[in-house]
Formats: sequence, C-alpha cells, structure tokens
Amino acid sequence: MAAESPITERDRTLALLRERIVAFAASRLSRDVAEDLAQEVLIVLHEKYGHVDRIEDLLPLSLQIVRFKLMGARRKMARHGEFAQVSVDELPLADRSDTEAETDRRMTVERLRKALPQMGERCRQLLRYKLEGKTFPQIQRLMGAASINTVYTWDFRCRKQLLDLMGGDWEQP
Amino acid sequence: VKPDDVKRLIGGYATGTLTPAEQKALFEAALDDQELFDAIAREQALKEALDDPAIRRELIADLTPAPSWRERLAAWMRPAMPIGALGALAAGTLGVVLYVQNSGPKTTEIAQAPIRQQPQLDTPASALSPPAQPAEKKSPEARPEFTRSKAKSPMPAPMVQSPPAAENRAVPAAPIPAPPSIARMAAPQPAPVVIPAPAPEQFRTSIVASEADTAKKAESVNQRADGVVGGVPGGVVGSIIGGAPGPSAAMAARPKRMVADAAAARSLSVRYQRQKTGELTNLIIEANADSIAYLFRRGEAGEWVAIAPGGMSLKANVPFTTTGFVPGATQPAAVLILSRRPLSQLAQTGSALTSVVQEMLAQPPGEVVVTAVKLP
Repeated sequence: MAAESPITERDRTLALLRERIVAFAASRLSRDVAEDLAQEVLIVLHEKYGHVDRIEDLLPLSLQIVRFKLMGARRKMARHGEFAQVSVDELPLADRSDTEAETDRRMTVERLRKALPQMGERCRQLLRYKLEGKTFPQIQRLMGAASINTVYTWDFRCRKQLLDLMGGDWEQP
Repeated sequence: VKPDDVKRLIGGYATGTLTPAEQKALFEAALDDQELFDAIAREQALKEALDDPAIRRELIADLTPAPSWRERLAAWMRPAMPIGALGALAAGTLGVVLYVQNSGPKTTEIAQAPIRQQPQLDTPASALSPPAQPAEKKSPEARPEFTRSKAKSPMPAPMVQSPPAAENRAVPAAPIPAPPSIARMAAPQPAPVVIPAPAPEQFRTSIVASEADTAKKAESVNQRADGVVGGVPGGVVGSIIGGAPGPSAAMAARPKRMVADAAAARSLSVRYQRQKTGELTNLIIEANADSIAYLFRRGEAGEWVAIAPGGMSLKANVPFTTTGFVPGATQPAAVLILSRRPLSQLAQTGSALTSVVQEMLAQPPGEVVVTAVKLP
C-alpha cells in the first residue's frame, strides 16, 4: 500500500482557490457547471503551471484561467445544449490573443475612456499615476498624502466611482 | 497592511500598482474572503485590458491635463532659448564695454580759433607788427606794462589797429590742429568750448611795438610828422620792437590813416585820419562801438584845450569829422580820448583839464582809450 504524499502549502492554497472559484463561477453559471469549471482550472494549474506555488502568482493565474473558461462555457451554452467543457488543449494561454477577448477588451477600454472625464481631478490624477506604474507609496509622495491609508481610501473611492460610471461592471453587462 | 485596509488594495490589482507585500496581503485575504475574491475576479477583465501598453498610453494621454498657455509658450521657446541667452550675453557685454568707456576721465574737446593777422590799412601788417603769439605761450610775467611816455619820438608812423578782442572772437576761424596736449584730451562732447582769442594784452603789445618801430623808422627817413600813438614803453616791449620790420619811406609818405589801439578798452577801438584844409586840421574818427570822443589840442602854453567841449557822440563804424583846429608845435599836438560813457572830469578847463588829460595819458589802458595824436 503506497504511502500518501504530504499535504503541501501549495495544495492548501489550491484547495482554497477551488472553493473560491466554485463560488464565483456558481454566481454566474449553474452549480454543476461551476464545479466542473473549477476542476478544469485546477487541472490546468497542475499540468501546465505545476512550478507555480506562491499565492501572489497562483491567484492571478487562476483568475485568468477562470475568465477564459467562463468565456468558453458561455460560447458552448450559446450553441444550445453542448456541454460547457473546454479541453485543456484548446484552452488559451494567459497572454494568448483572442479575437473575442480582444473585442471585449476594446469595448471595456472605450467605456472606460467615456467614464474618465466624469471623474474628479484627484481621481484622474491618481489613476494616471497608477497607469504610469507608480506604487501606492510613490503616489503618496507625489500627491502629498499624509499617510498611505489616505491613498488607499482615495483609490477605493475612485474605483467605486469609476465602476459606477461604467454600470457596476468592467465588462459589458 | 492592516486587515481592514486589505479591501482597499483591490483598486491596485488591475493597474499593477501593488507592491509584493500588498499583493500577498490582498491575495491571502481573498482566499479567506469570498466577497474579496469575487471582487478581484471581476477586476480581471480590467486588468487584462490595462496590461496592454498601447491601451495604457491612450488612457494616460486622456488623463493628462492640457498644458496651459504658459507651458505651451515655454515649450515653444525652449529651442530658441540658447540663441536668446547668447543675444542677452552679447548685449550685456556691449553694455559693459560702453559703460567702461564712458566712465573714464571726462575730456573736453577744445576748438581753438586761429590767431588772425591784423587787418592792414596802409601798411602790410607783417611789416608793422610781429606775428601774434598764441595765448598759451605768453606767461603773465611777460605781459608788458603800459606806461605812456611823451619822451618818444613824435615821428609819424602809420598805425595798424589791432582788431578788438570781441571782434576777433566773432570771426569764424578755420580750425587749426590742437596742440598734442589738447588733442589727447579730445573726446566726444556735446558742444565744443571755444578758446578765447589771444588776450588783449598781446594785441596791445604788438601794436605798440609796431607803432614805436614805425615811429623810429619814419623819423630816420623823412622826419615826417604823422599820427603816432605816444608813450610807448620801450623798455618793456623793446625786444619786440626790434624784431618788427619798419615801414618804407614810400609807405610813410602815403596818406596815413592813423589807427589807435583800443585793446585796453577790450572791445572799444578807434581809428582816425588826418585831413588838412588850409591851416586847419580835421580828424576823421571812426569807432567800433557807440562811444563818446573827446579831442584836445595843445594850446600856446602847452595846456590842453577842448576842441569839442562836452565830447562828440560817435556811432559804431560811422566816420565822424571833428572840428578843424590849428595844431600846436609841441607834440603830441592833440589827444583823442574815447569812452563808452561821458567823462565828467573832462568838462573842466584850464590847468585842471590839463592835469586830467596828462594823468590819463600816463595811465595804462583801461576802459578809456587815450590816444596821443601827433600832427605836423
């Protein structure tokens, strides 16, 4: 009888990720589809990104895979009755260009550009610094904020304002 | 990052603003917080859009405020700033140079009027009077003291009147080169300062010298009695006299128009000409300014008698013919006194008048021109 391999930190992180992914997907798809989608995400992480074990890398990667899986699931559901299963071979990589994804991206940017002029000057300045790649501590110095928490608060409110201006979601509802 | 602040980090996920520590805190919190995880998952669409550098540039351009007109102007002038700086530097250098040049010791440009020869009436001036000397060459000590003396020869001599100082100044003279010392001082000045003409004493000296010399020459030639300015201090001007050429006999024989020097009177001068009609002799007097002329003749006892009591009013440059009189044997036979104002002391008669006239003859030239007239 073979001995069981020890549970690693990565396994615990993936288990937590699965729970979060199932819950997130279930809010958009059916529970069964969400369970399968989360399983497929974990298979991709295991087979293609087995070397990634840090949470700072695993979570963004899993979210990216979830997004593509959701898009594939929607496409299959749109074909009336096909099961929303996407093979691992067909799954695009994180940086892979896709026409539909590109279209969604352009639409998101257009909506964003229309919303930006309606924001306040401070929010615009803050967003510009963020797009220029500056960190929050750098932004704190540039904007003369008393503390880093002030910058966090400004950014949280500005994000909420921008999200509201775009209809509550970055993607086309 | 405090647990309460973690949710506020979510805005930095899409733009990649989070530091590694902030990312770890946010993601670890998201594993335990479904709501936070869902929020991060919703940010994924925006994150993928903002990961495109071209889209970032577009958004940054949209968020960059338009430059103000000052910034646009500064950007427009920036390429020309080196040229402007060079121009300003050149202008400043030029200004400093001009300032340094103008801040030196101020010099005065002096235009010196040429010394003009005496106008010749009967005799070439060069033959009668020595050339006038520049004023700066004559020291005050060299000025002659005029003490009229009647011991001199009464021989006639054509006299050349030196032009008055004022007249000399008024003559527009051709420019002469300034002495080196003056030339070194020359510098641009708004109005040149005209050096005054040679001092009246110089003219006086030359004229007296020529008169005395003329008298000597004439005496040796013809003993011709003609108008002579009496009382020449030979001791004072002797050297000058010796250097002056005397007139020839022919010149002395010509009709003489005698001229008296009035240098002492500054700008007042008189010339006269003898005119004989029978036994009577007239003087044609011409002054250069409005004045009063007093003429006295020698009486039988040697006293002075007024020919025209009260004097004769002369107009400037208008000849005036005096009353005819018979000149005495003693020379000078007459005295001509010219003044700008009436002289009350000459209204006396007899010995008082004689004393006054004699005293005036002995006095050095002043405001009153006193001329001893020698007549045959």
